[in-house]
Amino acid sequence: MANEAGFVEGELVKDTGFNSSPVTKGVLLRFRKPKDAQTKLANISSNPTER
Amino acid sequence: MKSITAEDRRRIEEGIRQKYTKVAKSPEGNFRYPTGEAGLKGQNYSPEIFIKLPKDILASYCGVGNPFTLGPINKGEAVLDLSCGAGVDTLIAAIMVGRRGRVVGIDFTPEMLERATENLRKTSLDNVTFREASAEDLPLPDASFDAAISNGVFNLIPNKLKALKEVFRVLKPLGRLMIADQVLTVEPSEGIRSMVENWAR
Repeated sequence: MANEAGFVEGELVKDTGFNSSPVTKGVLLRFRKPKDAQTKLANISSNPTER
Repeated sequence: MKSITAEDRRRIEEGIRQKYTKVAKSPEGNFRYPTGEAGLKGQNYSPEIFIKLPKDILASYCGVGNPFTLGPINKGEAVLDLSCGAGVDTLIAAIMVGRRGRVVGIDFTPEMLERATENLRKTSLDNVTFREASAEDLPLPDASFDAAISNGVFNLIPNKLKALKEVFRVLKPLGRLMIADQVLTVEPSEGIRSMVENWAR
């Protein structure tokens, strides 16, 4: 999903060690905006199903 | 997956506001996530903050991790704290960027912003602004931040892609997004997916 937004170099760096429930995991994520990214997105979706 | 209707969104957002209004007033003992000074220590926040920030500011921390472990925040930078809550991470970022930098904290819960503003007043920091806004619709210019941080936020956002696109828009080229969050480790059952009430639990 972050790639779809335009981010690159996405990385799940590590777990936080804290899990809020038996079916969740705490994570630390890092992304970068490309150097040559356009600052205006032409097609910000208004689709309410996107999560 | 079941679509989120406008009514679902309203209930999700109201549920989040109600929960975090309570957390703003009393994070201690009201929240299953790391809170207060113990929460900060448990998530390996820098010892420097325990010297530089008053205890009652530290007490208002609630988060799920430490986004600052994902990379440096440098002097002079502009940083955005998404859904900043009581503003503890915002103030930490403000210390890191120094007087030449600036930090903006946004949140859509008025009581959280009130607490954040109150926390800011207890410091001598003059490089922080708090604004009421949704992460899905940032009232901020394009390409205006070097880094964005978020702590336990994206799991709550109804339209995550929209929020990510907004963060992308306001980051400068080569800008960093650093996220601490909770992710599901299993595919949720249809019953859980459809329970809007579960959103802010």
